[in-house]
Amino acid sequence: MSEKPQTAFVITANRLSDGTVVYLDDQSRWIEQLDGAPSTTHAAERDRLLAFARSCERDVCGPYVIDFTLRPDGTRSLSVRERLRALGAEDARRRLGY
Amino acid sequence: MYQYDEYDRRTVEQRARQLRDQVERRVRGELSEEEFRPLRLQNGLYLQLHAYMLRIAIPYGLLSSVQLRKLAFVTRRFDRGYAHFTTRQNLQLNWPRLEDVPSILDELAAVEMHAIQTSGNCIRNITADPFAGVAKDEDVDPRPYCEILRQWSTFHPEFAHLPRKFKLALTGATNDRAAIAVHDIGIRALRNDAGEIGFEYFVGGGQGRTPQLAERISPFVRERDLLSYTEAVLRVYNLDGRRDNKYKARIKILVKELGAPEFTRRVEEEHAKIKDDEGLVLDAREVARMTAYFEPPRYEAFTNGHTSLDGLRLGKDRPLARWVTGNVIAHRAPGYAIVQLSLKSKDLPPGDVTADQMDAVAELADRYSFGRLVVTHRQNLVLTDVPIRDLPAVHAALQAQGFATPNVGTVTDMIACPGLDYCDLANARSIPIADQITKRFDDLDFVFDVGPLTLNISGCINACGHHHVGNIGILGIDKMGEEFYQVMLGGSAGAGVGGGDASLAKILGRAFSADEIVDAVEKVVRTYVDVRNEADETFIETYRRLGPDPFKEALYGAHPAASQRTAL
Repeated sequence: MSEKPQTAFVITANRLSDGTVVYLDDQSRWIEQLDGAPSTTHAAERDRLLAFARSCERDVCGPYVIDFTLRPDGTRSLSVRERLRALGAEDARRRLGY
Repeated sequence: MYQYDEYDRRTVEQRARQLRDQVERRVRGELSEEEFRPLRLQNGLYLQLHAYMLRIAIPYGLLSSVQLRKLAFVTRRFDRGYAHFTTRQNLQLNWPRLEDVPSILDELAAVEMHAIQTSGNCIRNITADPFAGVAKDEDVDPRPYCEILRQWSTFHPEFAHLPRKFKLALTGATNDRAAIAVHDIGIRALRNDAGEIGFEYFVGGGQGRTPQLAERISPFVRERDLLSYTEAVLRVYNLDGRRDNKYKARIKILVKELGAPEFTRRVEEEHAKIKDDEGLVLDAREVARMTAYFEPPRYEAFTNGHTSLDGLRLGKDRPLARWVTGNVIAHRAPGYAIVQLSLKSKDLPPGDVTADQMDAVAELADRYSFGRLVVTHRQNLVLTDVPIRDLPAVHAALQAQGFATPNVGTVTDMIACPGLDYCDLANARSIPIADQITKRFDDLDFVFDVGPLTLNISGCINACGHHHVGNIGILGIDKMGEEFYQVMLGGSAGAGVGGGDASLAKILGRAFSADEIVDAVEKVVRTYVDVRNEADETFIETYRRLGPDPFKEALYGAHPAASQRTAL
C-alpha cells in the first residue's frame, strides 16, 4: 500500500432490466456490492475495463468510471452521490420509511 | 374534463405498442442505449440513481377518480405501492422494471392517460391554477385553453426538438396560484373592458441555475391569437435560442440577452406573418367545443344553511375548525368548498402517496366531489367541489388517511424534490431535511401563529423543488464530499395580479451542514416572529420591509464575516 493517497478507479453502471447500481468485478461480472469491485490506479487498465463495460450493452446502461481517493489505509473517499449509490435501493427505501 | 376521441385513443395505444417493441429490441441488443434513450425519454422513462423512473402526465393537474384508481393499480401492480406527485402536477413511479413499462402505458391508455411531454426538449405538461373552474377570484377558466394548447403542442413537429425543455403555466384568476412568473411562458386569461377574453402574456421566466422572472410582452393577446402568438414566441426561440450550451439554451437567456423590447419586436414581427393562418386562428366554435368539456357539474342549490365556512371555523370541534381554517377554501358555488389534501405529514415524504391512499381519495372524490380532483404544483391534492355540509365527514375520512394535517400554506407544507435519494442529477438529499423540519415544527399552535410561509427545498441547482421562489429556500450542495445546504430568503411564486408579487430568493450566507440546517431554519422562523410588526404581517412582508439583516444577524451574528462567504 502506498504511503500517499492515490487516485483510483472503479467501473460502475446501472443494470438494464431494473436500473440497479452495479460494479464490474475482477471476473468481468456485474455485481451489486462496491466492496466486491476491485479498483485500479492505472489509467490504461481503467480504459481497458471501461471499454469492456461499454461492450456489455445488453446487460447495463451508462457505464462510467468512478474516480476516488484511495487512502493509505485502503479506505475510499467517495462523493456523496457515489456513497448513496453504493448503499443501494433497499437502503434508500428503508431510509425513506418504505 | 376533456374526453378522448377515437384519434386520441388510437394515439396513446399506439405509443404503448411502439414502446413495447422498442423495449424488446433494446433487450435483444438490436438497439443501443444511445438509440433507445431518446425513445424512452419521449415516453417519460428516465434512468435515475437506483432505478428507472416513469413520469406520468397529468395535464393541468386534473384527474378523474377512475384515473386515480388506475394509478393506484399500476403503482401496486408494477411498482412498490407508492408514488410521488411533482411540481409539474405529474406523478412519478420510482421503481418500475423496464419490461413492465409498456404494460403500464397500456393500462394508462385505457383511462386516457400517457407519459408524453414529460421529458425532453419539447413543450412539457402544461400546468394551471389548481382551483381553475371553482375559484372565487377567477375571471376566466384557463382549462379549455390549456387543453387547446396541449393539443396544438403535443405532436407539433417544429417544437419536438427545441433548444431546451419548455414549460407553460396558465391561470385565469387574480391571485396567481400557478407560478406563471417562473415559467418559459406564463399566461393569465382575463377579460377586457368590453368583456372579450384575452391573455396577459409573460415570457422568459424560470428557475434552475439562472433564475429569472418572466417579462410581460403583451398586456392582452386576443383569444383568436392565442395559438398564433404562442407559435410566434416558439418560432423566435427555436430560431434564435442558443443550442451551443445547454446551460444557456432556455428562452429566459434569449429574452435576457436580447432584452424584452427586442424579443417582443421579433415575436410581433413573426406573429404578423402567421396570425391569419388557417389552423392557427382560434375560432369561437373551437373554444366553445373545448369549453363544453369543462362545464361546471350540476351543483345542488343549498337553501337550508350550510352555505358558509364560518360556522365550522368558529365551531367547538377544534381539529375540524383548524382544518377548515387552514385547508378549506371558499368556492364560487354557494354551499360548496374547495378542500386541499395535505400530502405533507410525518408519515411520508412530501408529495408521496400510497396506492391504498389513492384508492381512498378516489372514493372520496366519487362520494363528495363529482369524481374529480386536482394535483397542485405544491404537491398536494384538491377535491374541488365538496358540499360544506359534508366537510365534517370528509375531514374524518381524510384524518384516517393522513391527509388532514391543517398545514397547507405553512412552514411544514414544503415543496421538496426527490433529491439524492432518487435523482441522478442531485447533489444532496431533500427528503430527510423536509422530514426533520416537519418534526421540528410539529407544534400546530406555533405553526398557525407563524402563518403563511412557503419553504421549498431542492437537492441541486436545477431547482425542481422551486427553492428560488420559496419565502425560505433551501438548496442542497455537495461540498468536499459532504451534503451542505444554502439558505435563501425572500422568494415568492407570486400571489398578486399577473405574478406581480413574484420575487426570487437571495442567498443569505455560508451553507450549513445537514446537522445544522434545521436549526438554521428554526432560527429564521423565530426571528421572523420576533421582528414582525404584528401578527398578521406575513413572513414575506416582513422580509420585504426589513431585508435580510435581522436574519443574517440571527444566523451568523457571532461571526459576521461568515455570512459574506458563499460556500459552494
